[in-house]
Amino acid sequence: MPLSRNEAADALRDIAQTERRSSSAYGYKETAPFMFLWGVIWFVGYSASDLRPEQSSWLWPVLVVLGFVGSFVIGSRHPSKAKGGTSEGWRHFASWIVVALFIFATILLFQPQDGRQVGAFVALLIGAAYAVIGIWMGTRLAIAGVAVIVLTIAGFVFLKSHFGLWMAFVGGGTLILTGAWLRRV
Amino acid sequence: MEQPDAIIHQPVRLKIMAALKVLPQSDALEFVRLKAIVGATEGNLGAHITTLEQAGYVEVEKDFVGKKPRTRVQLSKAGRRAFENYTAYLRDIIDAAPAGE
Repeated sequence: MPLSRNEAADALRDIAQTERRSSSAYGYKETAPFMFLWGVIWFVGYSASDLRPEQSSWLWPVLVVLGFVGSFVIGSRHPSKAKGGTSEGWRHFASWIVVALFIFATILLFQPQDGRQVGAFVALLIGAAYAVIGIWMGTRLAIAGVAVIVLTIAGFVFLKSHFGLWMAFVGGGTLILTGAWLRRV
Repeated sequence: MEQPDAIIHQPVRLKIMAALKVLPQSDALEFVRLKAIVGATEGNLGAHITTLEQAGYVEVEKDFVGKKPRTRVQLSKAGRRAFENYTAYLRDIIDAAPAGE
């Protein structure tokens, strides 16, 4: 028996809703390992900023390079690539390279004298990036992005010292916890 | 298409197909994630996946992650085509019928 217009509209609505949920779930699963990786990097880097500030000037670039290498490896192990298919991973990787270059260029341009400003700026930019991605991909990422922004501002405004340790735990911690949250079904 | 595809035209199976459709072509969805997306019980979902597999619309892979069994489902090429035909059929109904019907 052919469908009525209302039945067809209901079916298309179900399809659209399910597709949105599936896209979010897929995006979360794919993003989780990267959140873990960068959460650990933030934890180590920001901790060093506070505990070993004389070493953080070389440690941060090393950690960032390790982060990008790790991200590339994670992306390369994508199942669709392993089966000989194509992967959109290179677009994600390239997008984050652009973000990193923007951060580098901005720091070069403004020459901040306060390490706290650099630390806060990077975290705010990454938080904003995740919040924007989350608007399109799913609420969990948007919440994580906003959390990073709020916690960064709170630490910058209210903490006179140990901002690096604050960021290690709340910034790095937020990314790691978000990775765990994204993996949950 | 005068009649809806009877295999796809069932609420749970429709959601299964829609959930799998958004994945990249060679990607599969784990059973537990599919269950959460579709909102069906384990037994119900399993029965409908079997129906779709017998129709050639999905492919099911079973393996182990460590000692834990894992079932993954992906849309076949025939399934992708059938789902596209089904959604085109739905849109034709909406475009053809006068509004308010």
